[in-house]
Amino acid sequence: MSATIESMAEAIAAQLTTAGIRSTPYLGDTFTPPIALVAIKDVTYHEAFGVYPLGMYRFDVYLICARPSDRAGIQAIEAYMSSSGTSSIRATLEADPTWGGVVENAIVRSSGPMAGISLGASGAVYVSVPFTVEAYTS
Amino acid sequence: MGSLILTNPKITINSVDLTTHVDQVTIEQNLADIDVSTFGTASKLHLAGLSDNKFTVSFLMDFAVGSVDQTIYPLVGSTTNVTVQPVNGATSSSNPVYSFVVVVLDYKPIDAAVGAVSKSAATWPISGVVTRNIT
Repeated sequence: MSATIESMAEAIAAQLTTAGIRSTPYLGDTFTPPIALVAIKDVTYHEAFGVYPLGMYRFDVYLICARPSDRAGIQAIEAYMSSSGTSSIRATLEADPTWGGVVENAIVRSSGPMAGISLGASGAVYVSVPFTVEAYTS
Repeated sequence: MGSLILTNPKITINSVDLTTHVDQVTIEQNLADIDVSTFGTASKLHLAGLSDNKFTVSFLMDFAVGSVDQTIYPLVGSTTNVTVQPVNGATSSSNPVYSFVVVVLDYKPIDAAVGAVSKSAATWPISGVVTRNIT
């Protein structure tokens, strides 16, 4: 099995989108929250011997949510960060840990911490949470 | 003087190429140290005794058909052929094939912590000599 970083990022975005979490496989300049933005973080090569050796690919998935109010914003983030539930990013990405056969195995390692960010000319405040996702493939 | 960063060796066990499921391999040749010192000498005298060789391997576990578990599990308690070559390519004087017979005395099909890559390491005694082939 051999996959490009681009195909893995697209697979993450597709899996999140299928679960109703709008997502793009890149860090776009403009976007409308709520959205999950996928970005490669780092790669560890040579996890095993071979011409096309097993590698560990670590992605950051930045979940950005609007804050219509303190309570509603936090509740949305809590649902995304929960280990289970229809909005759970961990459960969504690990439901098929091969992401449709793109990688050999994947795991959502951690999420958080959340942080407030301001976007656009208006400086509207949003909440951002990074998720660390690891994928193993040749 | 050259050096080698080992990334693409060839490792076969029971004629199955498991290279891409291995991240560590060691062939260890040891001979017993026989003391043959006698009176009248100022220093100890030594001779090489019987060899006691070992093969250590660390697998990234895979339970698919033709992979690690299906290859190793049936071998537990029996002997099997192993070959190790530094570079997966033509055999030569600078790329020898080490071949030997191991006794599969231990095997851990599951040896992992939660969320970690499932690995399994084993050290098996080599029965007989380690042969270094260059052709």
